[in-house]
Amino acid sequence: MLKPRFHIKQVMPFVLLLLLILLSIDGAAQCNFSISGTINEEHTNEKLDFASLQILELNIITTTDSVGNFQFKNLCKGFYTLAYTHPGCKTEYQKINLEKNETLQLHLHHNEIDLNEVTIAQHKRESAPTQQVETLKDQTLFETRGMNLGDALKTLSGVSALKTGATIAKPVIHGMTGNRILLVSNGVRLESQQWGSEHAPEIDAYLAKKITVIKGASAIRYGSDAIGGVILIDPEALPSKPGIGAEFNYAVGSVNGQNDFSFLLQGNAKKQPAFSWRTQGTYRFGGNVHSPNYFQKNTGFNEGNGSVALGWKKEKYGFELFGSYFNTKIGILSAAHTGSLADLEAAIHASQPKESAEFSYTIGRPYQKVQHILSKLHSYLNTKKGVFALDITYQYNIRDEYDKYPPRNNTLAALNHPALRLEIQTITGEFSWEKKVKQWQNLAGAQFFTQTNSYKYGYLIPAFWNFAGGLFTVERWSNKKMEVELGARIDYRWTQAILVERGKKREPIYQYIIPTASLGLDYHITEKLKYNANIGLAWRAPSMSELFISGLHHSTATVEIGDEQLKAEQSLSITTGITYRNQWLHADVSLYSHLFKNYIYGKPDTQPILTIRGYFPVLRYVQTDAAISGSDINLAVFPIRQLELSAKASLLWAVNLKTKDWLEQMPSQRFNYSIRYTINGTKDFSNLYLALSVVHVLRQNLLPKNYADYLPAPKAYWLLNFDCGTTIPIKNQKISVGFTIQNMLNKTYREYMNRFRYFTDEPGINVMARIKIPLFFH
Amino acid sequence: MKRSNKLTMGIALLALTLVGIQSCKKEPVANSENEVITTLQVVASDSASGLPAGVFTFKDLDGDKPTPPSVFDTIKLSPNKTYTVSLIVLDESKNPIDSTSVQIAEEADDHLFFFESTPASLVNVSIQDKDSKNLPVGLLSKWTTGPAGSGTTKITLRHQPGVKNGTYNPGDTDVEVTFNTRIQ
Repeated sequence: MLKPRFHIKQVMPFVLLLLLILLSIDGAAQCNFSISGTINEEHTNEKLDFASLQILELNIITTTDSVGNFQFKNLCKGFYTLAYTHPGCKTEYQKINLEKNETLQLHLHHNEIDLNEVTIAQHKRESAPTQQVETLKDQTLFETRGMNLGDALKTLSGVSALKTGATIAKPVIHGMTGNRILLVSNGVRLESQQWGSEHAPEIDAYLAKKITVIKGASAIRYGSDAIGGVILIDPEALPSKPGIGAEFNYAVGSVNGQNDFSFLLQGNAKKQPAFSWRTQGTYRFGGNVHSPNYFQKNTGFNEGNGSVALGWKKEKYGFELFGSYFNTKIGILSAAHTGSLADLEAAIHASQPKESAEFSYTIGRPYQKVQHILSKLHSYLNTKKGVFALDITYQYNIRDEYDKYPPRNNTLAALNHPALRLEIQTITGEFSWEKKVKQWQNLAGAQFFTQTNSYKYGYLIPAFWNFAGGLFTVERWSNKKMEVELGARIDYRWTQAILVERGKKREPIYQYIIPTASLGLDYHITEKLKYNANIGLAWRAPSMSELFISGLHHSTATVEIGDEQLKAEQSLSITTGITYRNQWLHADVSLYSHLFKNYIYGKPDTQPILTIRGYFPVLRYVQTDAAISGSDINLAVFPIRQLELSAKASLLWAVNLKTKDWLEQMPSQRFNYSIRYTINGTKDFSNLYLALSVVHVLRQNLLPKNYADYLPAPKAYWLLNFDCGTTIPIKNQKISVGFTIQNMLNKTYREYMNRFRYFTDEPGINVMARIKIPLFFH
Repeated sequence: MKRSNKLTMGIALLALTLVGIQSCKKEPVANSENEVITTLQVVASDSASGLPAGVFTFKDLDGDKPTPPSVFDTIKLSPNKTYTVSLIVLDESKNPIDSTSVQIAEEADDHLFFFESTPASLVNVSIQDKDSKNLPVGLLSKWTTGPAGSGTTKITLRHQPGVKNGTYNPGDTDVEVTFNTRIQ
């Protein structure tokens, strides 16, 4: 019988906050004012229906009716910012000092689009309203600058990170990572060696203007592998206003001497308004990471990225051509590469890593060097029959792994080859059709995918070819009260591996034909209370490493063995949640359950293997039925307008249904509490905020019986963080600055989801600063 | 045909062409030049007479992979005798066979062998060769056997580039073989 083990002491702060919330729900007086009005098109003066409006401070949204009227009721006195937009328009803002009922006449300007045409191609990868979604954008995104993608997303509930040392972090949604979640960069699904737990995503976080996390099965729209969810890294749309814009970002961090430089330059030609362009580049580097008692030797990194986008946007058709290059060199903690089990055990039981170090930016062996080229051509055609779009993408990823020691043979060593090089090239294409008819939004499409992988210098996973194709449709019906979404998809996948064993070649083929479907509901119970539910099927083919891996994994001193007979994983995700917004309280509570058939994981074997370096334990990839369930909770209370008290909880229980025991390698329960004080606008600065937060992570006790681990799961820990920042208007530009202290008390701790927890403590105190300077020239 | 339809067709054709190019099968590049140590040979000769006494081998051709060693000899020596032992380390996965012991000898400053006898009275090993800093290496040693008995002899090769100081601790293990040993 499984019992989730909580100590009441650990959840007490959370319970107290819950009580505080329940007491405060009992509203306040003086809250019966309204803001109403109409929105018209600037040029034609036509009334705009289904325009959306949002009061930013209260996070409440409404839409205009068929004659362009809107109304917000039951508002309290105060300062508000009203954001309003309509498809094809840039969002406009209106500041309101609400002291009595207000009636507004608002206008919006459409870019080059004739209102008589049926529908506008909205950005296809828009967030799914019936699923659990979290976003980082504007201020919340700016506050993560300087962090890598995995660490930046950790602040969202339900999202954590699987780390390999301090610099390599893979995002984890509801306990799932690697091939179970998809990263989509500017509309392109990232294809690299994502099966590797030590392989960080090859994405420049500075490319993003918005990062969206969709939690739960999202296979219909994105294809196979989107079992745990999808992370969308979206840049801003190319500019449509004439002139040249720029943005400079700079960030520093003290724990590893990190410096980030990022620039962006974009423009729209005045003489040719259809043409716009953007170029962007980032250079970041860091040195050895400092833990409270020592420096971690060889943990520096060096990253340089760049991208170019060209767009041609006319009312009836358009193109966008995008290309990006990502290049990183990441040092791997020296102490983590051991030669034998005895060496590993000595490293684990050492009070600090065997090799001591000073601070240095030098990256020596062992290290990873990864390059990624991503390009896409997006084209669309706007007709009375709907919007047709064609997307073609090409990616090339080269991953080099350099071992701790160069070859003994001097001629060979002089060549400076990596111990392993993996090269993977992927071409994808999507043809889609989208059309809005009254309350129905129809979307249908076909996707194809072709991929080739090869290796050089050493062997870890075989070379292979992959072909896949899919057909999908999504139907969305909406009215003012609710949205219902139905999706269906069928995929075909063909994979051929090329194995060379003792001079003989073997080429096994794997084929899959798998249908998936989803059904979702988003329902506005009242203006303040919303309910959503989603049920979806998803699947993924076993990765080449799960099928064929055969060899020693240095940092775990374990020989991993795949199983060629593994079948595809299939999952059913059920997520449901409520969202409540009023003056005093913002609450998001969601529950989820991901049920798996043929869940693949590495299981420790009883028989060790003998090699010339002695005995090593063995891990075999096996399948089981599993259930990963949990709850993501976000609560925020505003006792006065400027003060926000918030609490987040990410709770997860993962069960191996066949053994009726817990499933290992899952994040433990974690909580985040914060107090934030905001001083709104004065002449010299706006949105000055100060925040103090506590991250509390419980010990991972939910582990299978008789689970053999080199070290027991680390103790529970809590960290104190401080954040502050403001926006300074200079002439017409708004400069944002931010200052953060992470792990302010310089605590020594280890995290269960860090594969290097056997060798080193987590980083100590990190003082970070960041600045963003946007510029615009006419 | 309307211009916009021609455009769509052109793009679709481009897409199909790209698929076509991709389907030209590429041979995967599959060469493994990495150095692997596959074999440890213990070559013993009688110190007094100089006559060969035996060659005891551990051979595991696939390195770190799961296939068990193909040869794993038991060391058999006579009691109360002294033997001159030289160690040969090979990479037999390459053609021609690569002699790692030659490279170890060239980089003697980075390598150190350790010998552990269980029980301790079974065999007493004394390293004969030295590196440029007068620290022991272990490719050449003298083994003095005790009375008849059986046990194990563990031979460990420590790779200690830049950190060798004569002790076990620095560096990493490249070879660790525990031979069953019979003195009879």
